[in-house]
Amino acid sequence: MASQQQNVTIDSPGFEGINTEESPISQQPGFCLVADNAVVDRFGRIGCRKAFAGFTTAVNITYTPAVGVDSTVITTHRMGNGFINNVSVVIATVDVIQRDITGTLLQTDSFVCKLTTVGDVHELDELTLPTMLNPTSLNDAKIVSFRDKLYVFSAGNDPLVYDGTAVTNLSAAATYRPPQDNSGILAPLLDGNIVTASYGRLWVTGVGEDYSSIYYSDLLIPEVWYDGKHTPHNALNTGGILNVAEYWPKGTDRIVDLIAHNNALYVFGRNSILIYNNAATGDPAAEGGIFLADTISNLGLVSRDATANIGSDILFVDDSGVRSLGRTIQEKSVPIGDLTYNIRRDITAEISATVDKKSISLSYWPDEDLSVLTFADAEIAYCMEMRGPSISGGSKMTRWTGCQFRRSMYYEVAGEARVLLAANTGDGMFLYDEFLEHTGTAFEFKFESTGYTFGQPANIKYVKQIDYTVVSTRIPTIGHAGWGFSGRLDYSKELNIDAQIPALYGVALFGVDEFGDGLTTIRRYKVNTKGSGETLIVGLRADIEGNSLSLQEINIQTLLGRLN
Amino acid sequence: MAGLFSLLSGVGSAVAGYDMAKDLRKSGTEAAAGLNTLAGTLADDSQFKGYGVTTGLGTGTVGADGSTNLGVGQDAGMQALQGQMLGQGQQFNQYANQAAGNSMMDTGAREQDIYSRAMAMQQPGLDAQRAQQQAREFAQGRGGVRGSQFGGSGEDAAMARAQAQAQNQAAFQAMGMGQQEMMNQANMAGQYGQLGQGYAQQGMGAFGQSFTPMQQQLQAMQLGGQNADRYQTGQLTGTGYGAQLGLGALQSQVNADSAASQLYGNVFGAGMNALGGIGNTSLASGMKQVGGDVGDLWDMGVGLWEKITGKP
Repeated sequence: MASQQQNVTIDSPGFEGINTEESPISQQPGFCLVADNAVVDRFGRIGCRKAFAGFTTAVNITYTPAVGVDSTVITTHRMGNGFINNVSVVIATVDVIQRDITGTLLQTDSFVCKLTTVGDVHELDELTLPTMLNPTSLNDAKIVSFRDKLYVFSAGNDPLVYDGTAVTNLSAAATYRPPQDNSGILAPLLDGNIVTASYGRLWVTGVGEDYSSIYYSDLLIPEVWYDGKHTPHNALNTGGILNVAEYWPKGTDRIVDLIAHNNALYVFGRNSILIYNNAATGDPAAEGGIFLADTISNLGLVSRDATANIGSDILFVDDSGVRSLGRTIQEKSVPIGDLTYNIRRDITAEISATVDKKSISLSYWPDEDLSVLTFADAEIAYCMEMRGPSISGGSKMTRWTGCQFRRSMYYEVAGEARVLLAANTGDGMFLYDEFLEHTGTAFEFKFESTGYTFGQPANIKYVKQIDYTVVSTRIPTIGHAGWGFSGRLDYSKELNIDAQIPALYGVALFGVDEFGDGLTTIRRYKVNTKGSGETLIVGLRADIEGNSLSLQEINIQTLLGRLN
Repeated sequence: MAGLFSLLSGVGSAVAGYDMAKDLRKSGTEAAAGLNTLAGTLADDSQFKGYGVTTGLGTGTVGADGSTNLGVGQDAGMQALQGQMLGQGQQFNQYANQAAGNSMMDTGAREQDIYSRAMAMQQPGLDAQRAQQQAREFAQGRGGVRGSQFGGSGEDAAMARAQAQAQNQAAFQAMGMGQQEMMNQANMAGQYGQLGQGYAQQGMGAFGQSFTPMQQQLQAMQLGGQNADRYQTGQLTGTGYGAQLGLGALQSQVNADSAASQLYGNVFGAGMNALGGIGNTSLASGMKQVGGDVGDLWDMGVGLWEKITGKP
């Protein structure tokens, strides 16, 4: 005779994020197998992400249509932000690629655009550029802000300087002093694209395709660089060169990125990391100046923009996933965190499958408490909840799809925090905001739990009913409840998920939080189920199109059968 | 008869006077001859005979004509010593000239030489310091640091500065030492010069001392001369005595002849007078007696002369 029906309540299912590294049947119910387009909301529930909403309404660039053009792709590649005369300025590199019907590249036009805002209208406007040697490399430019100017460093090009009015070449400055010594000019142009503006200097590598030497400018004078002449032009010049070629712990490597953090300069190689301490000293070359504090082997950076400084730590993307350096440099031993521990093999496979590693980027959105690892070519992203790790030690991971952007950038303007997304759709920039995608179509929130055995893995479960407690806002939507016993969702049932219309409460009440007080609808949706098996997987998916949704609880009514 | 007698007496008186004049002339001639003889004898007797002095150094002689032969020359040993001293003096003078020449040379080359040696001595230490510096820099990861103010790292600059200071010190020390060496050479030139001068003086001294035997011989000959003077004095005294006696003898002879002639004249006058007075033989006899006396006096004077002069 069958036993009595049992009710099993799973609070906040999936709030620990995706975990594909541990056995599904031995996991805590907080983990999940799928959390697409999801985040962990402010109440610790798994919920949908915000939308990649439209932001710029126009990209005002001038280019000539090529003869025989069949397709034209306008892509925003890199973004940078800084204050110029106390005004927050955003610029971006944009290119236009024209191909013929066979896909053959006909023409590439590269631009630097400035984000202009008039009222609520945002547009990208082309800036007039000086003659460039290699304009196409603007698609992987590095934009930094330094001393009331924005600098655009791109491979093979003289750095561009935007002072809020015009773009000039760095070498055009009257006070420009390229790196030089008694043998002559070492590098006429600082034409690298690996840059950081830190500690009162510009630090550049990749100059002349030399990825072992870091050129750093004079203190607060970005036009003046190393002057090793017996009689330097300025005896107070503290610009210099740091060659790290001899210090790679594995004998050889090349610099992928430079990060300033905690008075140190982190030199990321492809397979190793050098940590130079005391980089903020008055003269790094002076006695007691910059020195190598630590080296790390077999960890490196997959691409330049795959790092994020979260203030207390540095996150970076290694071949093994997203790692972090602890802020314990002074202790000589650097603890390495593994943020993507819960999906390590998935993320490793994704990184490995990415041919153009430059399409991998990592950025930190402090207002969202998220770090987002983007695979632009695959148009997916992995999102890490930064408020706290999961019980496994790894971050709470979710996965985003439909990521039609190359880079993302958090910045603040007029007291408002924004996350801009560099669109590869010709739309200029998106904004991570609200719940309506730039396409105007829905994106899908998708959740799949781990396997539930209810503590009795050998018994057959006869699931009679699953109750989904869903928190939703704004607009009703269609959801799909799913369940299964074979490691996948064998069954599904449509749900009509209700929501209160925000218009009833005034617009201003909905601008801050998708799960705002008093505007959410919490309802339990009962789903009569069928089927049996040892391990139950429960899922929910729902379209997000101006609405939001969080899964607060799953209640499962089941019968425990015989031992199988 | 009386007139003849008076004539005879007159003629006799004339003849007698003539005869007496002849005798006196003869006596005068003889006296002159005697004086000549005496003078010759005296000249011979008073003539300087010369003398000789014999000492341990040698025999010096003074000839009758005054010619002097010391019989002793310069001391050969001293002369040899003089030559030796002068030779050494010249040697030291050469040294002095060489040192003086050295002291006046340009110090640059010597300074460079000293500097090079000093730096060569420092080089192992500098190499070791540089190696340690490079090791430290590498350990700190600062081997690849190049700063505008240092060319390389600050440590490189400090090392270069220290080495430059060491080089400067070495250079200045080399300059000081070079100049000190020049001063030393100059001092040595002076010292060598003094030594050369000293040796030259010693040579001169030896040269002077080489005449000492001659001086001493001269002194001995002075003593011999004094003795010769004594001898000469005796000789001249004797000669004076002889001359006085000879002159006396001649004077006596002359006086005797004069007296005899006077006497003969007187006698012959008296005879003549007597003849004139006819016959006075006693007077003639008396005249004859007087004549015999004068002859005896002459003989006695001659005999005295011979005794004094030893000459007949």
